[in-house]
Amino acid sequence: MIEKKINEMIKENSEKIEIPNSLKPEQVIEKLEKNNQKRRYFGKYAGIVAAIVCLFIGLDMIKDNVTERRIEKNDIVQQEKATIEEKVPVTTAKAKRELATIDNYDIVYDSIYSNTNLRQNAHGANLEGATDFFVPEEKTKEIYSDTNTQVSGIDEADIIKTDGNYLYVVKQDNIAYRENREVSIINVDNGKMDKVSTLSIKKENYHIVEVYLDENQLIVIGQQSEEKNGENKKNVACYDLYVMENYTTYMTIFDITDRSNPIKVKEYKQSGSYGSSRKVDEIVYLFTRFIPDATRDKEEIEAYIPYINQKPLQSDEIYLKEKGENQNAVVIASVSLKQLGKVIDKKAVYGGGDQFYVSKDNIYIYCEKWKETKNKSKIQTEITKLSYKNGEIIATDTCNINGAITDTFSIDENEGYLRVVTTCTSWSNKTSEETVWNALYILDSALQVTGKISNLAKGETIQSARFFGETGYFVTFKKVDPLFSVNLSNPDNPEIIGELKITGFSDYLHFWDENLLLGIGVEADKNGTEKGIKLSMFDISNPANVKEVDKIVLPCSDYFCEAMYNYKAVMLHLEQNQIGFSIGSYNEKRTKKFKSDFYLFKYENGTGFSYEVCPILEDEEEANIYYENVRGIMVADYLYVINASQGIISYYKGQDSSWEKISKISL
Amino acid sequence: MSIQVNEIEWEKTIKQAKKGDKEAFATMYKTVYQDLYKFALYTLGNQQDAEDVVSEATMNAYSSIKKLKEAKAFRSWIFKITANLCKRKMREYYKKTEQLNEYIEAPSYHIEEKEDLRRAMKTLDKEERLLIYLSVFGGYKSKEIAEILNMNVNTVRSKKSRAYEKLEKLLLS
Repeated sequence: MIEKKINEMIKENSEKIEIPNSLKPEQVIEKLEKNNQKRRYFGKYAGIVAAIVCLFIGLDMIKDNVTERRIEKNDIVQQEKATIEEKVPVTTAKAKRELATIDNYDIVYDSIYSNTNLRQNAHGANLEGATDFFVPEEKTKEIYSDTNTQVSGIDEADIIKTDGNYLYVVKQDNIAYRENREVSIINVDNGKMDKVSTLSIKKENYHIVEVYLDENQLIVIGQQSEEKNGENKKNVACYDLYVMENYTTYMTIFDITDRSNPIKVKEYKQSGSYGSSRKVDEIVYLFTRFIPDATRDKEEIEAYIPYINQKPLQSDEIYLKEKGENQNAVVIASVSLKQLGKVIDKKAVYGGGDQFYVSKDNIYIYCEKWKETKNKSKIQTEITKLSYKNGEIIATDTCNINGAITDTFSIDENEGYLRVVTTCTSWSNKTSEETVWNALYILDSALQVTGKISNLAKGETIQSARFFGETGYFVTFKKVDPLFSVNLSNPDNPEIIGELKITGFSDYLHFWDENLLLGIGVEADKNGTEKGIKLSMFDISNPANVKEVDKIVLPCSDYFCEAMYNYKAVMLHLEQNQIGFSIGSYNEKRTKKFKSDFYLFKYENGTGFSYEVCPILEDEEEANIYYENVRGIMVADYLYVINASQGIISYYKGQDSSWEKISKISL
Repeated sequence: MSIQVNEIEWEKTIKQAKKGDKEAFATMYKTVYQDLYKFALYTLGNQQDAEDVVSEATMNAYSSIKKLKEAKAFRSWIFKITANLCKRKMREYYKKTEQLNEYIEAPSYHIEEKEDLRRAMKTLDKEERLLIYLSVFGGYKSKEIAEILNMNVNTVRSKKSRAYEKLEKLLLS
């Protein structure tokens, strides 16, 4: 077998590798001893490990490997012709278009194969709440910055939420592996902060991922993992005994009418690891990824059929996309917040995909697949569309297009049409030669291609994209950054109308107003060598002639910036023309400690960009590596810089002065 | 490679380790540390980073050893911690130069590799290499890798087989 042979080659080569002394078992024992002592010394910082300080010292200046922004990117599958039959419409007044669901569980069972045992072992949450009657006082509505979401009107969860009066923070534990179990509720009032309560969910092997806020409800989404025995009951395939994990996603709803006394009112449970979610009109749509297991007997349904709140999905709630290749399923449920966690609808799509885009009317699940022909192999994206009106979820259409969606914002629905930009890759089977180019597709409401542009920007990949109405913008990059403008007003004939070539490239595009497009990204020289972080403002009043009217570059070569790969890390407070995000960096020669700060930018017509630096609360004893899980929130004229692992600093800016620290609080 | 341990002895050892016995933990560590380091080194391509990652993974594992239910799980569990730290580290290497996706070695990289093997691995992308190294040094199959990396198992299988095909053409033809 090829795999075996090549593995042996690599292993053989690795025999000569010398393990560094610091990793030898004797040294490790010493380190553990030292660590214990230090832990005792720091008291409440117990758990913060000395090794982490070492992590950044002595890192090579020259990074030898370039990262891909999303390692979790899912790619290639052997494509087999999927036969989806049109379901014969049930006699209702309106015949809806829908993909076929399955008739019975056997079909699912027979089409999957794998090899692990499943142990159901759910633990309930331990939370006691008092039931005092509490009347919240009326507070004036402050203007505050909110979570940066992809589609306006569709809320997305995050580690930090606010309603202008309180901050709700999922406390991050950067040390132990996945330990987040608490949410702190902090009252904010003109820069002053006061932690009024902490809610915690005590489950084994569970961690909180993110939260939603809905008036007087706090919705906590978390994931639990459970080890299962690698017992090969049916002697399927040939696995060694191992113990892997089984995932369940929980949504816990708290009544926080009395902010100082959160009360758990409902716990909702869904099979699978947490994929994503959205909140629209007081309904939460939860997407999980479920890995089925068919080494159990057919009767053990819980092994291969997803469960919601102790009940398995029914056959008429299951869509099966490809027979034989199915391993993972996407489980989608709509949960009503008005009706305290009642499930409105639920569906599972086996083989559906693992990335999500949600528009005002539809949910799109997509994944990358392989297509092999005699001479070539290429990447395709398979898209499944589901409608979700009022919580009713129906899979309607599916399609395949060329290329991979490399940026979340590359897919957008407008007036029934779906616009997608992809980066296409193909390999010659004979020479392994790779060709890369980009394409744009417009699909109608049945996911049929109406118009497309192909062979764009050969050799480059898409870095960012944003669509609005009848115009779209996207950025590709190899050495210079063409910012393409596309006219999408005619679905049969999309047209590139502009191509602005500038140095560097944007990682994230945001419409500032109807005439301006903001780009956050990287500056580079003419050869493509990176120079630092850049913000650009583009004048798009004439999309055929886009101009970069201002830019600001922070010269740094050795930095870490969450905004580059997580759009929720970007604070956009257009009411006050503000942009903010955290940057962690070393000084030029790495002689000083690693430091991270919150950069607050402002853009004004006429004067352009300016910025100020507001330090992030850090642990004074250790190097601050917390450039991740940092958010900035504006409430009225106060800036709260939240380091979700440590604490919060509030700042205030006077008329002609700079941002001044007001107070700080630990989490 | 990995040292075979008598199962009963293993259960005893992990019980001790959970009580905070560092020697016991070191015994468990002994069975995996070489593979962990090699995995991190090949994946990150940088000696110092690999050392840091394995060191951090070890500390994490030691401080949360009580959560480990099954002794048998130790190896895959610590591999998972390491793989995730590698992913985090790779995300930090955020530099887009025209050498996108190239397998560049730091001066300190001292693996004496066969030239053709090294050249062949260069043609793979970061993710493909991560999958292959988990397979080589971890001994994991696609489904296990999917669970370690929280990826779609279809994706893992195809990406892995595609990577091996590419390598086969270059190394075994």
